Amino acid sequence: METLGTARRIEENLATVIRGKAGTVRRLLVALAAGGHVLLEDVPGTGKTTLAKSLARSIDGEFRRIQFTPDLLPADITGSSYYNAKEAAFEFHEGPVFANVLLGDEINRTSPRTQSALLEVMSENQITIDGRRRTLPEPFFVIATQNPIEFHGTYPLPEAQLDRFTMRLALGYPAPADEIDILYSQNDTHPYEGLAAVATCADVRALQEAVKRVRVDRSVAEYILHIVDATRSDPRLALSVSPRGSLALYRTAQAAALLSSRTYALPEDIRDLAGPVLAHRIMLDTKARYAGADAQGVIAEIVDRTPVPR
Amino acid sequence: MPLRPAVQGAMPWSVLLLSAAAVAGMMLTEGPTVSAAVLLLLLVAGRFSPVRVGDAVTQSGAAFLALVIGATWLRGAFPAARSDSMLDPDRLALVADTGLALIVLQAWRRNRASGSRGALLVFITGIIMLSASNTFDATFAPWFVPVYALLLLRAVRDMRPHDDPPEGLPDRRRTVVRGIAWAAATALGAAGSGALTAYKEPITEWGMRMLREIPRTPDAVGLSGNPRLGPSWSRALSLERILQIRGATPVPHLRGLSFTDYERGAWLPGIDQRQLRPASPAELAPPSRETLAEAVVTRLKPLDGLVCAPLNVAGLVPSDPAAEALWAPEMGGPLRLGGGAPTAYTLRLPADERSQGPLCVRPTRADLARMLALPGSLDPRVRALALRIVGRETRPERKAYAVAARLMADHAYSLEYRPGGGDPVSDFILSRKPSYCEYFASAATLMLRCVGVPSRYVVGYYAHEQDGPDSLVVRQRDAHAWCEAWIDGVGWVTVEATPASGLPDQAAEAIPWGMRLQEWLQKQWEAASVALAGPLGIRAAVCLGALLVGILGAQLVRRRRRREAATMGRAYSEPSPRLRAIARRFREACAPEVAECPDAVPWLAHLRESPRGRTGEAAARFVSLYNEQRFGGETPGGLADLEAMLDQLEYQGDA
Repeated sequence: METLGTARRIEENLATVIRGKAGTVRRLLVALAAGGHVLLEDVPGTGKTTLAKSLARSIDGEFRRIQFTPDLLPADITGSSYYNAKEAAFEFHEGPVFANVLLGDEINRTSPRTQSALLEVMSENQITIDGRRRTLPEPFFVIATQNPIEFHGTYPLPEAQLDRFTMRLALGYPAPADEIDILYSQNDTHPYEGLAAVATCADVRALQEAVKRVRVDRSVAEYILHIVDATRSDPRLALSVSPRGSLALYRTAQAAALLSSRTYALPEDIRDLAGPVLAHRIMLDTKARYAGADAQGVIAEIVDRTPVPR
Repeated sequence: MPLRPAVQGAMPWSVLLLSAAAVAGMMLTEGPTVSAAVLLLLLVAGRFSPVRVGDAVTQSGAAFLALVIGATWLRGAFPAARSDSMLDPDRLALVADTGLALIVLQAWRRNRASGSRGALLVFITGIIMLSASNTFDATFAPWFVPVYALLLLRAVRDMRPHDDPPEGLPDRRRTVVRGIAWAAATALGAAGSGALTAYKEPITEWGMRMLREIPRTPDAVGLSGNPRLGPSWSRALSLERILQIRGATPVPHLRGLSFTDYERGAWLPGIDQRQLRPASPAELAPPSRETLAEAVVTRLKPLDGLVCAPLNVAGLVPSDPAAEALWAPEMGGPLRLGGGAPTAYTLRLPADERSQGPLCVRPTRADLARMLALPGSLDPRVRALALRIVGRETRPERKAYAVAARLMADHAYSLEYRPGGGDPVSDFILSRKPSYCEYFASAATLMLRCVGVPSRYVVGYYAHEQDGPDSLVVRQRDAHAWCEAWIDGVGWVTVEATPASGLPDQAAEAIPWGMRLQEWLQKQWEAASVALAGPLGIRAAVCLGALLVGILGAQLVRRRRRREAATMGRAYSEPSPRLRAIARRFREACAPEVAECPDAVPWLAHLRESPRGRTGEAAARFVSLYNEQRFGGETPGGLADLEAMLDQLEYQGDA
């Protein structure tokens, strides 16, 4: 399949830059193929920016980066109109969102108003400014980052907003052997410098369309619902998975199946993706939090006790 | 291309041979039976026939079999245990037959879970061999038991779940080691069985001691049909329970047999010389008789069918109306009631113990003459003594009292008697030696005849031992003999001439508590047997059995559906019936591989995490193809490929 080849090439291309994180890279591509966005929750210096840039270059797309600060305004993200005295007209200067791959660094450092502006753009894929609708380029893929350990002066994203991210991933520190490779590979130049495009934005759009044609048997869809339903009846959760989460799991399962050279989704896909797709959508109640439970653990437990269709 | 087997889940050859060896051993000792031969054929046929039955059928069949056998057993269709074996061989043979039927059911069962089935099969074959070896037959045991032991080892080995596929041709060293192992096992088996045969008596004794507090001494229970006076009490003081009496306490003398003719120490006629005729219910229980109370007697031992009842009983009603009653009332008995043991009958007791019931038939003139006849062997001094004792007394009852009192006063009680020469009774009377009840009864009978009182010799039981607030138990040690006299104007009366110290209630020792506990358990069993023996009981048992089978069947079906739902994800949309059948066959073919797979883990993930050699790889390939059909859409070609792969899997599993 041509679309599968697209995904393979992008994946291999990224692997030359991001060492030892094949699983995370695969999941990132799954989110891209599913038409979603990713929240990267990681400590500084693990390669988040490099990953986003590499992805953009791999698909020959435009890469933009936003460094969120507390004084950032929504217009700094979406763009705004300026009056051109020479032309005697207002000109619209596009904001950073007009890119194929947008890296939003430390999204929790900006005000909720600015966060909302980005999240609104993510969900609608268009902006209306001054009464005029402007469509974002396709594909439009946001990688937002959060520092999971530093909370001073931050505005943590509310769970209802987190729901808009298809997946929450973490790169984490590389394994020692991989880190040695990183050291030597960047001795002269950064591998990113030699990265070439292996696909086009049109290929990515085609991939996203192909994902929609992957078959999801009714039993697999029911399996998704069983898991989601279990979160809604779990007494430890104050907030459970919404239908948006079910849809996200559905779509990412299709994407994962396609990237595994299958035309049908399996329960295995659901099991593998339930954690990254659903964990950031639930909120534990106070008692559960103080008992030491965490969202990933709860999702994993639910998956481990939900029978799979056979 | 490997051969495709026609069978899935066939029993391994080693288990087949093991079962056949056990059954052959049983047929060698118990004798060949048609049922065993048919079951053996079915066992072998199960190896080759593709037909299989589901668990629900197998387990329902096993439950029904157990119910039928249990009901048959409870009906007491088997004789009492022989004293030279630890367990009743007939019951063991029945268990062995049942075991063989269960093995056949297992052979035809669809389930491939060989672990649990294997342990069950080994256990059942062990029961069959126990039955076959029960008599420690010296010819059979040394040869057959080692063969069984060898096949048992082989079967256990074959029934273990294999992690590695079977190896190819064994190398020479392995063959040599195997040969040595077989030879050593054969020698051990022969030595073991030889030791068991050589020491069977001590082993049996040890087993009997474990079962009872008091070692069981080999003696007979029951009443002698041909009593003969001898040097010691002819029945050992066994504690075997003979009768259980519930209800109003009757008189203690329960007559079983009476005798009219005496000849040199023997009382005649013997039981085999009696002409018995059927007794109608009206004859046994005349409706006109007024009764004070009723007592239910349960005969716990066959006693040759003899009914023990008081002389003055007003009526006798068997619990089983269909039971045949025979009697010879004109001869004073016996009264026989068929039905083996336990058998129950109701005694209707009159208020007046002198009341004359159906057992008190007025003697004819000929009968009176017989009961006044004196044997030629009787010493004339006995008659003279009897006349002296009664003096001028004319009333028969006073004569009886005087004779009995004199015998009690002149003689002490003893279980041992040293006979002198001549007639035993004459010797006893004239020598005033101590003796036991048979002598006292014989003396009373003959002395009363000497003074013109018609009398007869009676043997029966003396009921005295309380066994609860309204219950008596009669044991073999309570066997007793006494005299019955005909008193004109009164009828038949009991004449007790044995000194009080010799009566069973005085001679009885306390029963150990362990034996009482055992008897209590036995009584519950007997009560159930008697209840089931009646027609209502049989109907109730059949209905209960049918109900239990129905409930069991429903439970099995429900459990199967629940299991299918859990394993097949029945809460999910189902695939087509053909794919469901394929999945079911896969689970059976690869039971060891998928049995441990949790419900929440897909098969493929489980197989990849815990590979099991060649079979595991093939199973993983199968599951990949299965997933394609299940979740990617079914195609006829895909389903056919799946079935072909499944055949391969089943073949690999059988190999």
